[in-house]
Amino acid sequence: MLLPLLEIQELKVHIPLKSGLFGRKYSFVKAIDGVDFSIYENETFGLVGESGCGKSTTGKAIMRLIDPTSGKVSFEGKDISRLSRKEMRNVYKDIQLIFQDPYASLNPRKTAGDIIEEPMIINTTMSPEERKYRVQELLEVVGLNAYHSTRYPHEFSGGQRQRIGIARALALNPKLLIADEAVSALDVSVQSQVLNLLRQLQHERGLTYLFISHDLSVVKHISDRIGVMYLGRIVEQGSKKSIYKNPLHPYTQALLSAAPSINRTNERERIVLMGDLPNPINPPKGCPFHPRCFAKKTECESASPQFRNVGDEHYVACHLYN
Amino acid sequence: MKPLLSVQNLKTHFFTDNGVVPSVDGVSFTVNVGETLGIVGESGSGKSVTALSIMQLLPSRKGKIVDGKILFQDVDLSKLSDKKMRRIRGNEIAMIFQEPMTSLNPGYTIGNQIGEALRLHMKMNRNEAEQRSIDLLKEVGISRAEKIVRDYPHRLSGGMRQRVMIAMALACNPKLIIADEPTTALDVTIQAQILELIQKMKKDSSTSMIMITHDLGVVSEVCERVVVMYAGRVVEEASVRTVLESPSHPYTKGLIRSIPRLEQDVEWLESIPGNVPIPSEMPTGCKFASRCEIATDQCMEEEPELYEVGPGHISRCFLAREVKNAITAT
Repeated sequence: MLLPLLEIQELKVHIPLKSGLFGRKYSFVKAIDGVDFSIYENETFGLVGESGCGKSTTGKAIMRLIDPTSGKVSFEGKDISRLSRKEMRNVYKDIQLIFQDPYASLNPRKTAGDIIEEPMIINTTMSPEERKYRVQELLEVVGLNAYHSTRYPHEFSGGQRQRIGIARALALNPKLLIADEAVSALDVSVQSQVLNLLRQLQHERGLTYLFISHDLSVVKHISDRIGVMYLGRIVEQGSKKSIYKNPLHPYTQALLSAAPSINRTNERERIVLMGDLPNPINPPKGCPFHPRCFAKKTECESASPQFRNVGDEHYVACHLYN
Repeated sequence: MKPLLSVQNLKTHFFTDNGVVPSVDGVSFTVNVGETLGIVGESGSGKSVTALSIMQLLPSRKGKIVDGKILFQDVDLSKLSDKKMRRIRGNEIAMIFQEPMTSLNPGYTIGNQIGEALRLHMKMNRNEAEQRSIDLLKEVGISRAEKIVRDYPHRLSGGMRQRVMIAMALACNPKLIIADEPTTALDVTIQAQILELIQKMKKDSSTSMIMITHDLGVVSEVCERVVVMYAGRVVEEASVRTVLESPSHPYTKGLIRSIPRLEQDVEWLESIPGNVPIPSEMPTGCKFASRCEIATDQCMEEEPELYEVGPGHISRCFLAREVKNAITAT
């Protein structure tokens, strides 16, 4: 059997909150509370969920921008969740991050060339000439021109900035790219350009993506397999086809039916969920989704459902499928 | 039937240190009684500035309406004094803003903020205003309204705050509500709740609405007619189904094709090449010509007008006009 490029096991990130006199009382925000998934080479794994579900924290925990509380993150079979900062630097050659906000993630005082060159200065022994050549090459790969390298971020549009962010992420020839809401800030006409670019790069370079987004149609377009997150857990996981054709978890069903569609011929019965996302400091007992669930049974209030395979590598955490 | 609002050749320009930016450059449209009009466009198309112009809420020094009329029940809002405009704003025309997190004042209670319009326009006293605020909160689906009315905005989630914003807009039974990206900052499941609420509001009252959004999915669900804007101009206008199913302008076509859809599977998305032109480098001819795949020499030099291409369907494209002419000729 194929070995996964990235394997996440029982990953938890609990962020302590101090309260009370002298900050002695602790409570925890369970940002991620037991997440498992694997990503195989040259595939795109989409992580979808609403704000506060822990999808970005998952990406950050893999990159060790937040230290996981427990659990394992294996990259090419090696646990990277306990590496020191120094040892992590080596890993960063293979895993890179594309950020959400193309306006905030580029240093306004540096030129596009400097921004793309920086990872090479830190992580490689390339000579300045080699680096310069590589910067120009990368700019062309992402659809910009070599002359753009002397320009500053404010001279670019949102879509072009996101291309610079992608060029920077590609600078070290990584194996895995984590794209955290990489196209969310872009207008649709530009968003489709960037999505096509990501796919083209994957074909050409055999890249693997972890694609994190709140947008169901974007995730569906780009991913091979998808995990749906709710309140720090993956509630359903499977191939793109099985998730979208046959969503099992009530939350996935609601999420899919809630997305506004421009197609009226495809009129679906809309499921409108009641209420808001619960507070992750004090998540509901039993199934975390039960207060908003339309198919709730009595056991949902007390017992937390197991994440189980219902066939064809389609996993779901719901008492309806026991 | 007379339209409730008629915007005629509106030009709103911003006077900045780097020159004049014509954010809205000759926009015309009408809103009929009880109708929901969608204004669609990408960032920088001028859709929000159009809304702010109608409300007379432009930043006073920089933004100015340089030409055109905004007729609301036959009164030109652009000529009204501040005092007279204040009687209309929040009373006959109300606005729902995009950011529910920043458009409520954190220093006042929810009831105080909803009640402000009631006390000002309806001359209610404190108790009446609070009672009416509670009723409004219930109407927009907030449980425990009696308690929430005395709470401060930070206690509420994004979806709840947007409900409060809607309650505020409804407070004085306005004739027109302008909603500027009311669901953009919300999660999908919450967005579904708010869209359902907006549809319910529409059914219960004869309020007209302008829904400004970049999301064609939202337009499809709540609007009857759509105006598509690009670079400060209207490029297409028609009924919602016509725009979505048989668009005429190449920009509208490109926009619809670039959306990844849940119900179809494609390897590559179609996209519109290039970017929206920046105001200082606005081309002389058709503003979309540089990104248009079927642009001719004429498009580069001459700006097209809005041509009628079907009943109630207009499009700012030379080629759309030719297609129409060819059809009528045969």
